[in-house]
Amino acid sequence: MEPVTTLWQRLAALPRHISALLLGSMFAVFILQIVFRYFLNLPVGWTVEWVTIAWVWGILFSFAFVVRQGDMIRLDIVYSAVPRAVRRAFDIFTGLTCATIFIYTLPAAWGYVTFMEIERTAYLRWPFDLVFGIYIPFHISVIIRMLLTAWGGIMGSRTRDEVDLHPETHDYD
Amino acid sequence: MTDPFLLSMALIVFLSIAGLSVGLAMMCGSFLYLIMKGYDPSIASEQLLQGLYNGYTLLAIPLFILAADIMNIGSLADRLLRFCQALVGRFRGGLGHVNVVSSVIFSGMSGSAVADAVGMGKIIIGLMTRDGKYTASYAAAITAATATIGPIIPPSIPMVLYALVSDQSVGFLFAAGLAPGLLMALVMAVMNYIIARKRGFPTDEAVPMSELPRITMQAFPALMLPVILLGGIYSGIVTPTEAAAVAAAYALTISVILYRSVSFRAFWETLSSGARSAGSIGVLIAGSITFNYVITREDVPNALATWLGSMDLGPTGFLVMVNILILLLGCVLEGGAILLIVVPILIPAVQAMGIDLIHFGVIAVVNSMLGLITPPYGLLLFITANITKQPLGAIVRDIWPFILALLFALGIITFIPDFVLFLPRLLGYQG
Amino acid sequence: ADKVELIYSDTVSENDIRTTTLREAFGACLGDEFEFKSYHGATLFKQGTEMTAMQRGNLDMANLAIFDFYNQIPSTAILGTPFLFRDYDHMRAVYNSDVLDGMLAEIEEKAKVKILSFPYIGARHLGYVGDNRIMTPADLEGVKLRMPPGEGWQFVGTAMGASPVPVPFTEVYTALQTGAIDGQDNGFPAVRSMKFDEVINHIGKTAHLIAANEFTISMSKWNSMTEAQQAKVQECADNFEAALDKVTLDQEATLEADMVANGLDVYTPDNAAFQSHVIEVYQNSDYSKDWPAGMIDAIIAIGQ
Ligand code: NA
Ligand code: NA
Repeated sequence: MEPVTTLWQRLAALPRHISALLLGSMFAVFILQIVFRYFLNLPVGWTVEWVTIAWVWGILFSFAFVVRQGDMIRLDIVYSAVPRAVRRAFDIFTGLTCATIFIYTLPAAWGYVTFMEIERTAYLRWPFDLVFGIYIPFHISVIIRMLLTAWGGIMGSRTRDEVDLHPETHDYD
Repeated sequence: MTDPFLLSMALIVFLSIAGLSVGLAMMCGSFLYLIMKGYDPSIASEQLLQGLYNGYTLLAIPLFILAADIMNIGSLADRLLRFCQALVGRFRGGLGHVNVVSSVIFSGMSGSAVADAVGMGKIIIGLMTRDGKYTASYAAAITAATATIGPIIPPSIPMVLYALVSDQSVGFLFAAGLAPGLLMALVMAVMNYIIARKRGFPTDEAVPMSELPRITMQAFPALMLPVILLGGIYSGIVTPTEAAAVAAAYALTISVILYRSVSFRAFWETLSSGARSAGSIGVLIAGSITFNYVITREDVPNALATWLGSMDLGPTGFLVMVNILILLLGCVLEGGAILLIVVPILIPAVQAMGIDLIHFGVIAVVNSMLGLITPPYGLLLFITANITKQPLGAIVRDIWPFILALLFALGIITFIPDFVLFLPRLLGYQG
Repeated sequence: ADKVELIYSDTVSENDIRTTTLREAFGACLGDEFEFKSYHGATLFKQGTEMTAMQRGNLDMANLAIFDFYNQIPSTAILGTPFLFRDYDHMRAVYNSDVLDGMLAEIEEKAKVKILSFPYIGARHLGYVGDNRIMTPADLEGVKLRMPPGEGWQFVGTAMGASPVPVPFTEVYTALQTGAIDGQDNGFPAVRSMKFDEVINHIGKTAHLIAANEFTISMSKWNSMTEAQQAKVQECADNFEAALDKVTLDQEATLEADMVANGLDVYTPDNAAFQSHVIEVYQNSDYSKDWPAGMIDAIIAIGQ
């Protein structure tokens, strides 16, 4: 059965590789842009556009498929201080509230993304419904994650590792 | 301000306290506001997507994270520390001074306080606590305190965020941060000296002067990075946004070619964890972008400006008020959240008062970095507590003197605008 | 009765004279029957996203740039062509004529927005550092001219004969000072507000782009109003156009005189040479492929 496990592991690691690829391409294309402009004296426009699209996709894709609950930036000062029962109540409330709001707004969000088909990007001339398309998986993944959070609260099955803060995720300060 | 606005604010506060990701909480609040007002809920999705798509300067954030990570997995950080030890280890409170100086140099390469604390912090805390020379809580405290210099000395992610919300030049903001950053280092070195005398901390074994050239040579490529970045920005070869990519490329090249210390696998791991950070940070930014629409639609900035105006404060009184406000918020909020949500609300009032926006930016960034070490919610406190396995209370006890020292520096930065603005003016800033 | 609410968004800052002019000449002109709520500095909608916001019913009015129409109405590209207008009077005469009526009807039908008026926002000139005056396209060869980032803008620089460099607006001052660029192409007001006049020594009044905004309302809002209300909105939009024209022309004249007094060399290059060169480059490029047949000649004829 071992090959099956390996295949499964590889599939599971795929989103991580895609998000790494997106960040890697931002990095590489930025360097290309500098080289083209200052060393070859050839200003190019598609580089900025690619980097911007990779950034939008990188954020929404990573959040949808890669980021763990513990990676999210949260104010856990109260959450980590209250008893377990209260924490479960918190999880049920936040999970259900957030999921309800995101389910209710999904049709409107879908409407906006598909509407943007009429606009195109400046250089690559890509239609904006594709550029913004990653938003829909993001929106849906929030719904699923929040339902799981609420379910975890109901069953009392969330582990500490799932909810503890990982310090390395706060690199923006 | 209408009831739907107050309700959506309440929802955001409650969801955040109850442990939801702050970015998602703000999106929920924005959606709720639009629904209650009878507006098109997709406005929130539109604002999120267009805000990210049009925020060119935001692109520096993932690249600085990448650069800092590469410096940590390569041996650049290690070599730098040895250099600092040879330089200032011989003075009273030696390793404390090494901590300060290494933070200054490292901050010239990275734009993030947390990256500094995690990268350099692990190594230097290990050095300080070996043989019981310093208490672990003191090592943690000084590491957390000096890491706040990271985003003040350029390059700097928070300055980029501020440039975005205030429409100021990133180049001038970076230049404005240099003197304040060095001042912060100075006051902390003085505080370290005073404490070292009082508590009888040892000097470090002096590195023989004959060793200095060799150690300097080893650290030389790393020492060149700040020079390259700032030179590139101010000669117009790269934009401040591109400088982040240059930093990452340089660190990678040095690590691979000179030190042979980074494998492709390790680099790929770095990219993958960098993307994960970008995802969680990006969603916080996205949440604040969506809620910013609500704040604008409700004319909150005007109301706040009118309120501040009605109090009839002069610019000085106003700055004191704002400093106290940000300090208090910093006790419970992230620095990034303060810069993205609170500062934009203040900017119209700042302009009306005739306060320089670059000067104000430096005040806001320094102040929000203080928030990283003020209890109860101080990210750098959590991180160093995690590294040293010390109780938070012990670190808080040892960090108070440094908070006082930094408040003193903040006072100088606030009340002597020329101290902040002389360098940007030398570079052509007209404010 | 309920007031007609008009939500407006633009990218001009709150403290700009154009914002004051809008509030007085349009907002106050509307009277009690309307509630005009204006948001400035791109705080409500990002630059370039106002048109889709209007189409989705989330915004009523905006002051658009002609490039905002390009994706949906490609023929509008012609109005962004440099040297299309000889001067302000030519520009105003064209917008007052019936030459553009077909295009305006197409915009209302396809993009579902209505252009009410075309307020003048200023002419762009060549401001640069150099030993000699630039008189013709040939003199621009090898000159590193900052143009706004974006393919269309960069091509304007190329068509004029320069080597265009995209630099963010806030970094232009430093770039001029360090010599990373030789010149930029903003009008007098922007040159003064960004203090470029302190680091350049010539302004060649090419007036290569005589820019007007498109003061626009969504068709859904327009159609929801009574005829009397429509007439009022149109009247005030024309009022705003006249007021902003005057503000801009006055400001340009004052600032030009002031810069000359400060020792800047302000002169008029051989604009006929620039015009024939640039129009030819455009006609031989992809940029002219969407131009309506005969329109370029009709526009130029009005200026003769
Ligand atoms: Na820094
Ligand atoms: Na804090």
